[in-house]
Amino acid sequence: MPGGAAQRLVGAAGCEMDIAASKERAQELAGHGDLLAFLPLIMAIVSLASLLLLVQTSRVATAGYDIRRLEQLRESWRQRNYELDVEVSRLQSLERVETEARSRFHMVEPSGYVYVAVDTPPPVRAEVAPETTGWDESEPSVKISKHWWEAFFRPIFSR
Amino acid sequence: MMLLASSTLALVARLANLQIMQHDQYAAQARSEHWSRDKVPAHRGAIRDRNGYALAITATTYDLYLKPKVSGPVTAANTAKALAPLIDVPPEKIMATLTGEDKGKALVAANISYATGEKIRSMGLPGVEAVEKVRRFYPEGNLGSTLMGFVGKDGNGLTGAEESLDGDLAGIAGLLVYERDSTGEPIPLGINSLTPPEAGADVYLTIDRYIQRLAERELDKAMEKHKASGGTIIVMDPKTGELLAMASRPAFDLTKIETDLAQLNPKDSKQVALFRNRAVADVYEPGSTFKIITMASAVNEGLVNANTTYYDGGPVNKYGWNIDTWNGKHFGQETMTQLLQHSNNVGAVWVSDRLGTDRFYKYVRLFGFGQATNVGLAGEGRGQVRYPTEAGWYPVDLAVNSFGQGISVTPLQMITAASAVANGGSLMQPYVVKRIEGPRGTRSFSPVPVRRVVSEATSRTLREMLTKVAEGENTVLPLAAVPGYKVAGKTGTASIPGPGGYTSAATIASFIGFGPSDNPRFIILVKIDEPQDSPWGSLVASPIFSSIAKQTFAYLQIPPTDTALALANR
Repeated sequence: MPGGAAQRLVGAAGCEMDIAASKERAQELAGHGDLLAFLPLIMAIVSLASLLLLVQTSRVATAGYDIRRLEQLRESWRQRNYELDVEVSRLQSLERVETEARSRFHMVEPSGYVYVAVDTPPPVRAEVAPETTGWDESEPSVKISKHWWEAFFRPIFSR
Repeated sequence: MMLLASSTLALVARLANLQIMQHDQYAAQARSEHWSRDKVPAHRGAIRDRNGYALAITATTYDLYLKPKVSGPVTAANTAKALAPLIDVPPEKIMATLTGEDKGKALVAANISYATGEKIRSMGLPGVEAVEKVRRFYPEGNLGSTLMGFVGKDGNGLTGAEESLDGDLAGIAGLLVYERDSTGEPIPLGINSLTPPEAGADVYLTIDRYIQRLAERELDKAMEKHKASGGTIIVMDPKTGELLAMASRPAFDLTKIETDLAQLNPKDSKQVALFRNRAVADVYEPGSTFKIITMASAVNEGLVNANTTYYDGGPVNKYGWNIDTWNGKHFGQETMTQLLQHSNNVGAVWVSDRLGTDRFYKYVRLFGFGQATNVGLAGEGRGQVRYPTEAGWYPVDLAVNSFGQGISVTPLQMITAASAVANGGSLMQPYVVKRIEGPRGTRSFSPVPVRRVVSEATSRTLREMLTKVAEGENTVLPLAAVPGYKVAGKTGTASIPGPGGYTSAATIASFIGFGPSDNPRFIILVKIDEPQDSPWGSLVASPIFSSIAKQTFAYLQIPPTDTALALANR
């Protein structure tokens, strides 16, 4: 029967189509297999990035606290300086100097002033040579190496 | 269904109103709750004397308060134990306050150091409150109170140099902007930005603390001795106009300023007057010290010299007013120097007649009377001069002005004018700030000559005449003399004008003098108000000048003119 032959033909053709689809599917699966192979790597990268972010954030937080602590410390020292300024001023005050002079050193106010008239003129101030700084400005005896290998080998070859 | 639709519509409308119509308002509210902007106060600069010694200086301290009944006895005992060694207060006292009757928080220690205060604050002890306080300290005590002035609770200068120099001293406040959480605390990882404050500059005055103290001590002694109602002493470098000391009494006490301000009654004029710098603000009739100006003007015009004579034959009548000498004595023929030595009012009138109205008032103006000296201190007075062109001036004014009555000046104007006579003839602008050192650099101030008033020759003549006045044989009482040194000066005894004319008894006793006469290094004005034991400048003010001048010579290491005399007066 011609109708039956046609069905077979169709059946044969359908079978051929199934095989082609299966091949495509197989190829697709093979592609997914490649992706799956990269998945752990991607996850590792993401994890690492997250970890880095966490570490970074943590470090920023720690640094922030450190900066704040150091700022407080700096402020504390600054205030201490101001306090010391007040203390120095109090110790230098005329009232305190006078009290110390009277009580500790038993000093009294002068009843008069002695002026000594001298006939001889005051000595002429001698010209004083400027003081040296102690810095030797002559050429250094050891020549400084220009290259790192010279510095590296000098201890070996020089005695 | 309708109900649901209308409810939804109402809800949408409300949301639109909140989120669109009132967006800006709520956004601003959210920002203000989320962001905090705190002003960071700047450290106030110090006021120092010319040698760098601090007169006013700022530091931050803590006051410690205890709140009773906040914790139980065991916790209170632990608190007392922890706190006692830090503030040097017995633990029993702390314990008694913490467990005692609740009368509100009690101050247990004031002016604790910043470090200790911070430590106590960080300990978080229950019932303990450490309050930060920025304080102005005065290492020299009450030295120069009216000159320096004081700062208010907000740290701004309110009077004196603190007020005049507030722009330099105060610095620039910083700004801290930060994100805060719901409790108002800064978010640790939130955004914050700090514009740091800029500290105020240190101001170096021309004042010398030693001379200032000397002037104040002498003024206090004089006030007590003569039971005076007030007084002023100014010491100045006549060549530069630098003020070396400026003392006035009565005055407020810098060391008790916080309590005094708390008790101040602004309606009580006597209390308020304590804060006034009388040396620059108050006016008075200078009396015979003004004869220096009259004589300098006449000498400079070439009308008289030191030896020009005139005849003092008795009181003179001017436009119906009888003018006599201060003691009723008359000296016949006398020289201009003798006129000054006798402080003769009749002679001063004779000199003013020779000068005439135009020339006399020209010099009054040239010497700076009736004008501010621009010293740079708040509240400076201008004095009061009636010129012939003004209403209220009478011809007799010329006569009485010549011996310093009917004309009002400030002590600072008077000493500035006398400085011009002493220094060679230049009117110098007085100044009180030597330099300002701040974060932006240093500004130094130099002497400013205002104008030439009299010639070098006139100045020399007047110096010689005034030397004879201060220590000459003909001087009534040479109490201004300083053994071994040549000093020059003039006394003044002025009546005090009141609403009904001059009061009969009360006077202002004054003296203006400088030394050494031939090369003045300092000039001193002494003014004592209403001395009770003697009205005369020669008796009251001259000895004060002598005492200050003697000590100033030694302090400035100025060698004596006559060594033998200096030794003899040891």
